[in-house]
Amino acid sequence: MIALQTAPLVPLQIPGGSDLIGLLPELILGGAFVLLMLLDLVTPPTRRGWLAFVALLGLGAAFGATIFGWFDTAQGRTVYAGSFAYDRFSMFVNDILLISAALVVLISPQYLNRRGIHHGEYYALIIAATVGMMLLAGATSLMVIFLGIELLSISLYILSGFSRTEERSQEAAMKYLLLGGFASGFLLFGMALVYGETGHTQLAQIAAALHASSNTVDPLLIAGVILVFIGFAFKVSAVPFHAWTPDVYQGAPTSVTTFMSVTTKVAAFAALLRVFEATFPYQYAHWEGIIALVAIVSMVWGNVAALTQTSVKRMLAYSGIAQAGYIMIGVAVNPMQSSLGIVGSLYYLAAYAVTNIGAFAVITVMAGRGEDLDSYDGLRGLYYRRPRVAVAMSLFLLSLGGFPPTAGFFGKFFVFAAAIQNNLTPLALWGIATSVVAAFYYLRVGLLLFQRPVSEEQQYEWPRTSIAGGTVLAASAVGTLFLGILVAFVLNAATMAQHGLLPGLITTATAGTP
Amino acid sequence: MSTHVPWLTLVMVIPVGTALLLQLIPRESRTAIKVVTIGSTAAVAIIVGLLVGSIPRSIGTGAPLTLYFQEQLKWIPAINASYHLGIDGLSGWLLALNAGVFLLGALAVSAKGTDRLRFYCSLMLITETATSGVLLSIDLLLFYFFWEGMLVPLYFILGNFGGPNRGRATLKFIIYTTAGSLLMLIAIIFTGIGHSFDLQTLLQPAQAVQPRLVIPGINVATLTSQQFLFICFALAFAIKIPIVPFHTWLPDAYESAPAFVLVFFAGIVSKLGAYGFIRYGLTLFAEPIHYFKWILAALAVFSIIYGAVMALASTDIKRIVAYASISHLGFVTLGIFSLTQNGLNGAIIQIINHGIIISALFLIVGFIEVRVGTRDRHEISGLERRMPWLYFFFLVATLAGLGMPGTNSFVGEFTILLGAFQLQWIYAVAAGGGTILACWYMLRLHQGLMHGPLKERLEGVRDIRVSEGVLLAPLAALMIFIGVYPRTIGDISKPAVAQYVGISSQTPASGTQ
Amino acid sequence: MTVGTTTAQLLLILGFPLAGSALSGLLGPRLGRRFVNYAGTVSILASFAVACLMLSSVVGAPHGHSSISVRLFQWLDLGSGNLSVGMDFTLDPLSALMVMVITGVGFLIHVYSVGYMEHDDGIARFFSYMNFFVFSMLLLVLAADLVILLIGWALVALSSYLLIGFWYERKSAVLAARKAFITQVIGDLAMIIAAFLIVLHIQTLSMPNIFARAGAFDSGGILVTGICALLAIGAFAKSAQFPLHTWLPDAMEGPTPVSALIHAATMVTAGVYLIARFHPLFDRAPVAQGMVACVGIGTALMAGVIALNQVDIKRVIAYSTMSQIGLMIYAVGIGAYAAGMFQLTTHAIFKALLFLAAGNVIHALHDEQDIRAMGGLAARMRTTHLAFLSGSLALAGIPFFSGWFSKENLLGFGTVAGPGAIPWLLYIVGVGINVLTGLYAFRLWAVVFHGEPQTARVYAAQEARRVMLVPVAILGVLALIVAWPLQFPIPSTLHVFSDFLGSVVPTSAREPGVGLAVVALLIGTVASLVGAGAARQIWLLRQPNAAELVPRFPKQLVVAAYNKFYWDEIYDAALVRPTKAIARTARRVIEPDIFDGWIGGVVDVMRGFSIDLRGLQTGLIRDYASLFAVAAVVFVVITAVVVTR
Repeated sequence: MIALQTAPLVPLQIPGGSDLIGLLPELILGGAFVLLMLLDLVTPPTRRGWLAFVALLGLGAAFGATIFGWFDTAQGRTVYAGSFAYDRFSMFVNDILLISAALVVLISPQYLNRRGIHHGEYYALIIAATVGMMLLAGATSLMVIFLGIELLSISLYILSGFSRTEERSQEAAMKYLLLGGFASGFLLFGMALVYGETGHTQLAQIAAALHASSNTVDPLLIAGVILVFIGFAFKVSAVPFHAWTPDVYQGAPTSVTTFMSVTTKVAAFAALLRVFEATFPYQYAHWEGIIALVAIVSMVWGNVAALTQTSVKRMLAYSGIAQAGYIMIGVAVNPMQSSLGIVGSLYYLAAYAVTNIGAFAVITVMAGRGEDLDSYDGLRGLYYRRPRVAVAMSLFLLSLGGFPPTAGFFGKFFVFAAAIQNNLTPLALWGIATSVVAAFYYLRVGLLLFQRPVSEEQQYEWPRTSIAGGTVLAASAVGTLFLGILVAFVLNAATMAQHGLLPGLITTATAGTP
Repeated sequence: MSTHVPWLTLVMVIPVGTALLLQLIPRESRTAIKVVTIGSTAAVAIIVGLLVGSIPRSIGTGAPLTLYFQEQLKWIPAINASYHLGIDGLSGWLLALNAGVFLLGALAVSAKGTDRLRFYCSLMLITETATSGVLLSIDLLLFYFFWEGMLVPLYFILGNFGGPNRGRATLKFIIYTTAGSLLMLIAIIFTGIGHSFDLQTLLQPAQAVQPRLVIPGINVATLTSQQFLFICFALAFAIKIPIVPFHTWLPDAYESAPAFVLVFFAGIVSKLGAYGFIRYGLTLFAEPIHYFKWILAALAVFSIIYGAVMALASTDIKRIVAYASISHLGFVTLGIFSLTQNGLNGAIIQIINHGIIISALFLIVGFIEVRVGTRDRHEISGLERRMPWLYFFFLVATLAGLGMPGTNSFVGEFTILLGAFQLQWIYAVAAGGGTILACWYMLRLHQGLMHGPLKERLEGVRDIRVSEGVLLAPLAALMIFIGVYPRTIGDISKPAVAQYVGISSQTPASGTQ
Repeated sequence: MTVGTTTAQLLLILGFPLAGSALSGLLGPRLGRRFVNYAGTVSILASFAVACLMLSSVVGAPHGHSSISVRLFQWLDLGSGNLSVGMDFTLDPLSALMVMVITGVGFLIHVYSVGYMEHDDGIARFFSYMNFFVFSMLLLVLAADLVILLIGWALVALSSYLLIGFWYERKSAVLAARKAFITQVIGDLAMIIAAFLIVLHIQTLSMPNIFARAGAFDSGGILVTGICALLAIGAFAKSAQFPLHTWLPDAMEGPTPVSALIHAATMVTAGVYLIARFHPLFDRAPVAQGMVACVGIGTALMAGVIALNQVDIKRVIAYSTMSQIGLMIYAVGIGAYAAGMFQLTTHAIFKALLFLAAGNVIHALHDEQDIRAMGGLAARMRTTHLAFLSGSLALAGIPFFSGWFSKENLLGFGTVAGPGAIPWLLYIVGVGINVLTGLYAFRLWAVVFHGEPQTARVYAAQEARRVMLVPVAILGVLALIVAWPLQFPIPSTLHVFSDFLGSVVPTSAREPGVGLAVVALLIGTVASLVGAGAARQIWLLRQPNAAELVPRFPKQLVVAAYNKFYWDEIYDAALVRPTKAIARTARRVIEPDIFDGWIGGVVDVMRGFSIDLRGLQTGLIRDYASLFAVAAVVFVVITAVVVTR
C-alpha cells in the first residue's frame, strides 16, 4: 500500500528565505568556488597549499550546513517551486559527497606537486563538481537534474585532462567529453519523452500523473524511462555503458580518479534512486528487467575483466564497474514492496565511498615523482617499506571484496538481503558468484603487498606519507571498520533518508523500518 | 562464576585488546611482546577453563536451547540482529580447545621465534577473537560475521608466514572457503531476513516461518526450500572441516604454514565446521538433516578411508599428517551424522582429541624438519637414538593418532563408531577399516623416522630443547588423561548433546533412505 | 573378601608393575643398570606377593562367594540408554589363576632377563616395557568391563609391539613389530564390533551383567553366534590362530625373554582366557563353538607340521606354541574350559622353560639360532640340558610330566565332544598331534644337545650364569611336578583344579565316563610315546647329517612347511599390494586430476573470458559509442516490445 504525498503546485515566485535555506550547502560551496577563483589569482605558485585549505573550509562549512539541514528536515519539503528537494535523502548523500571531496582535497597538494601540475583552479573545479553533484542529488526536477549532471561533468572533463603535458590524460579527457556528451543526449531525449507523456518537469507532478495513469502504459513513456536510465547508467559506469571508465580512470590524474570514481557514482545513484524509486515506481514492472539485467551484466563483466588486469588503476576501474552492478541490485528492488532496496543501496554507497577513496588514496599518496603508481609491480613488497600503508591498502581491498568486519561486507549484505526479501534471489546468487571472482583478484593484489621485492634496484621508490595523506588513509580505514562493525548508526541514517525521499514518500512496513 | 561480569565478552575482547596494546610496544623488544601475548592467551584460557568448569552437568531446561552466561546487546535492530552470546556444553568445550591451542600457539612462536614477531602476534590474537566469536555467537548474522571475518587475519598470517608457495595456498584456502561461506550467507539471509537472526527466536516453534524461495532452475518439487538452505549451510561447513571431496585446500595450506601457525590453524579452524553442523545443522534443519544424513555419513566414511589412503601414498611427512587430519575429521563428521547421543558425544570428544593430537603431530614434524632439513620420509631414519625424548612424545602422539585404546582418540572413535553402528552397521565397519589403515601409515611414519639405522647425515641431530618439550608434555599428558578419564568431557557435553538430538528428532525422519 | 581389601589389592597388584615401568623408564637412564635390575624385578615380585594374598582370599572364600567386582571410578557415562562404562575389576578364581601365572612366571622371566640383557644398553627401556606389559596383561585379566578389557587387550599388543621392535635398528624387527600390531588391531576391531552388538542388544558392557543377561540372546540365534564369532576372531588374532597367525613367528625378532613371557606364557594365551571368560555366550552359540574347535585343531596340526620343518630354534618353539594353543582353543571350543585353562597353566610353565633354556643356548653361542649349527651341547651345558629335557618331556606329554596331565585331560573331553563324525575326526587329529608333538619336541632336543657339534662355537660354549640358570632350574622342576597336586586326567579322581575354577567355568556338562577316559588316556599316551620314540630313533640314534632333517616326509610337503605354507606371500599379494596400488593411483590420478583439477579448470575458463573481455576494450571512441548506442536501442526495443504485449 502506498501513501503518496505530492507537493502542492505553487506558482513561480521570487525565492524566499526558506528556499535559500533549502539550498544552503550548495550556496556555501558556490561562494567557496568564486572565492577560490579569486584567490588563485593572488596566490603565489608556492603557496597553493592555502587554496586547498580554503577549499576544506568551504567543504567544512557546507558539511555543517547539511548537518543543520539533517535536523531541519525531519519533514522534508521541496523548494524553488518543487524543483529541488530539501530532505534527508539529499542531506545523507551530500554528507557522503562532502566527506569524499574533503578527503580528496587533503591528498591532492602533495600529489599535484610531485606530478608538477599544481594549478589553482584544481580546487575550484573540485568544488564546482561537488556543487553539481549535490544539485543532482537534490534535484526533483528534470531540468535541475540535467543542470547538475552537466555541471559535474564539465568540471570532471577538465579535471581528467588536468595533466596537460600527458597524452593519456588528454586522451582520457577527450573520451570522457565525447562519450559524456553522447550520453547526455540520451538522457535529454528520455527526459523529453517523459515530459511529452506527462507534461511536467517536476518529479512530484510526473509521479502524480503516472500514478493516475498507471493502469495504462505507453511505449513512448517506457522508452523515455529507459533512456533516462541509460543516461544515469553511463554516469555510474554500468555495463554496457561503462566502456569509458577504464581508460578515463587510468588516464586521469590519480587524485582526480579518486574523486570521480566515488562521487560521480554516489550522485548519479542518488538521482537514479530519486527518479526510479520515487517517481516511476508504478512502472516498476517495466524497468525492473532492464535494471536487473544491467546489474548482472555489470557484476559479471566488471569482475571477470578485472581478473587479468596488470594496472592497479584499471583494476580498480573494473572493480568500480562491478560495484555499480551490486548497488544496482538495490535499485532493482520494488520500492513499493520493501524499502530495504533503497536503504541497501545508500549503505552500499557510503561503504563504497569510504573504501574506494581509501584504495585510490593509497595509489595517490604512493605515486612517485612525475609518474603515477600504476603497475602491480609498483605495489610489490610495499609492506617492507611502508607497513601501515600496506596494511591499510589490504584492508580496503578486503572491504572491496566484501569480507567482514569491513564496510564492504554489509554493503553487499543489505543489497543481497533486499533482493532475497523481494524474490530477486537470482540477483543475489549472481552477486555471490561474482564476489568469489572478485575476492580472487583483490586478494591477489593484497598478497603482492607482502611479497618480498624481487630485487632492490627494480623496486619502486615510494615517497614518505605526508600528514595529510596519513590522515586520509587513517580516516578511510577507520571509516571502513566503523561501517563494518557498528552498522546501526549509518543504517538508521540511511533508513531515515529513505523515509524522507521526495517526491513520492513510500511508507511500507518492512524489515527496513526499525 | 558470577554472571554479572560479561565473561564471554571478555574472552572475545582480551585478545584483540592485546593486539592493539602490542602496537605500543616497540618492534624490537621481542621479549615484552612474547610475554604480553602469552599472558593474554593464558588469561583467556583461565577464564574459559573456569567458565566450562561451571557449566551445569544437568539437562538444561531453557527452551529451546539452554545457554549459560548469556549476554545480549542491540547490534542492528533494523533487521533484528543482535550481539547475543552464550555457551553450552558443546561450544564450551570448543571454546576450551580454542583457548588452549592459542595459548599453545603463543608458546610455540615464543619458542621458535619468527621475523615480524609483533605483526604475527597481533594477527594471531585477532584470529583468536574471531574464532571465539564464532563459538560464542547465538545470532546467525553475528556468527557469519566472525565466521567470514576469521579469514582476514588468517589471510595475513598464511600470506606472510610460511613456505615458498604460500601465496597460492593462501588464495586457494580463502577463495575455496569463501565460496562456501557466501552460499551460507544467502541461506542465513533467507532464514533471518524480515524475521530474526537470533537462533533462540528462530527455534521458537510458534514463530518459525518458512522463508519462501523462488529460484528458477531449482525445482521446488524435488527440493524443499529447507533442504536447499541446508545444502547451502552444509557446503560451507563441509569445506571448512573439510569433507572429501572439498578438501584440496587443506594439504596445500598445511604444507605451506609453519608449525606454530598450524597449532591453532589445524587445531581449531577446521573444527568450526563440525561445530556449525551441530549448532545450526541439527537445530535449524531437523527435517532436511534426516534426509541428507545418509549422504553426509557416507562422505564422512569416504573421507576417513580416502584420507588414510592418501596418507599412505604421501612421502612428505607434513602432508601425511595433513591427510591423517582429513581422515580423523571424517570420524567427527560421521559421529555428527549418526544423529545419536553416542555419536555426537563422541564427535565432541574427538574434536577435542583431534585438536590435541594434530597440534602435537605438527609440532613434532616441525621440530624434525628444523633439525633434519627435509620433509621426505625416505630421507630420515633412526632418530630414536639421537632424540629419545622426542621419540617418547612422538610415540604417544602416534598411538593417539591411530586410536590406541588407553589414549584419548579411542574414546572418541569407539563412541563415534557405536553411533555410526546405530545408524547403519556398514558405516561403522567401513570406518573401522579406516582405523586399520591409520595404524599402517601412522606406524610407518613413526617407525620410519625413529627406527632403522641412523643415517650418518643425521649424526649431529640434537634432541628437543626444554622449551620445546614444554609444548609437547601437556599435550601428551592430555592424550593419556582423556583416555583414562574421559568423563571429564562426557559429563559436560552430555546434556547439550541430549538437547541437540532432541531438537533434531522433533520432526521424525521423513523419507529417510 | 571385602570390597575394601580387594580394591587395595587390585590397586597394588596393578600399581607395582606400572610404577616399576615408570621408574625404569624415567630414572633408569640416570640411575643406571643396577637400579633398573632391582626396580624391574622387585616390582613384579611385589605384585606376585599380592597375587598370592589374592589367591588365598579367593580360595578361602566360602563357596559361591569367591567372585567379587569393584568399581574404581565411572569411566564414561553418556546417559541412560547410551554408552556407560565403569573402570570395573573383578576378582574370581579365573582371574586369580591368570594373575598367578602372569606374575609368577613373569617374575622368573624378569630375573632371567637381568642376565640375558646384561650387555644391552637399552636395559632401562627393556624393563620399562616388560613391566608395562605385565601391567597391561593384569589389566586384561582383571577387567570386569568389556571396554576396559579391550584397553588391556590393546595395551598388551602395544607392549608386544614395543618389545618385538626392541632392537629397532634391525629392519626385520621393525617390520615384525608393525605386522604384529596391525594383526592385533584387526582382532581389536572385531571385538569392538562384538561389543557394539552386545551393548545395543542388552544395554550393558559390564561383563557380570552381560553374563547375567546372557539369557536375552536366544540360544543358537544369529546374533549371539555373530558376537561369539567376532570375539573368537579377536581371540585368534591374539593367540596366533589361523588365519591371523603369521605374526607370531616373526615376533621371535624380540629378545628371548620377551618370547618366553609374551609369546609363549601369557599374552598369546589370552585368547583362551577370553573364550573361557565369555563361555556364557559361547555356550549359547554352538556354531561359533564348532568354528573355534575346528580352527584350533587345524592350527595345531598346521603349526605342528611347520615346527617339524623349521631350523631356527626359536621358531620351532614358536610354532610348537602355536600348536599347543591350538589345542587349548580346541578345548574351549568343545566346552572343556577348565581343561583348556589347565593346559594353559602347565604350558605357560614348560614353554617359558623351553624358551629360557633356548635363550641360554643362544646366549652361549653368541646369538646363533640355527639348530644346524648346534649339536652336542648336552655335555657343555648340563643344567640347561636337563631343564630343556624336562620341558620337552612335558611338551611331548610323556607320562607324569605336567604336559601329560593337562593334554590327556583335554583330549579326554574330545571323545565326548558331541554327536556326529566331525567331533570324532577332530579328536583323532588331536591324537595325531600328540605324535607330531613328540616328533618335533625331541627332534629339537636331539639336534641341539646331541650328536656332533656342528660349529667351532659349540666347543667354546659355556653354561649360563647363575642368574639365568636359577629361573630355568625352578621352571624345570615345576614342569615336572606342578600338575601332580592339581588334576588327574581321569574323572572322579583328583580334580582340585577344575573344582577351583568350577564357580566360574562349570566343568563341561558332558564329562567322559571313567572307562572312556581311561581308554582315551591310553591312546593319547601311546601316541605321545610313539612320537617321542620315533624322534629318538630318527635323530638321536641314526643321527642324520643336519641337512636332511625330516627324511621320511614327501619333499613337497617339507618345502611347503619350511616356507610356512606361503601364508605371508598370499597375504602380501592379496592385501598389501592392492592397497598400495590403490594409494598410488589416488595420489597420481584422483587427487590432482579430479578433486583438485576442477578448480584449475574453473580458473582457466575465467581467465579466458577475462582476456576476451579485455579484447573488447579497444580504446577507440567509436567502438565505445557504437556499443553504447546498440545497447541503448536494444534496451528500448526490448522494453517497448514487452510493453506492447
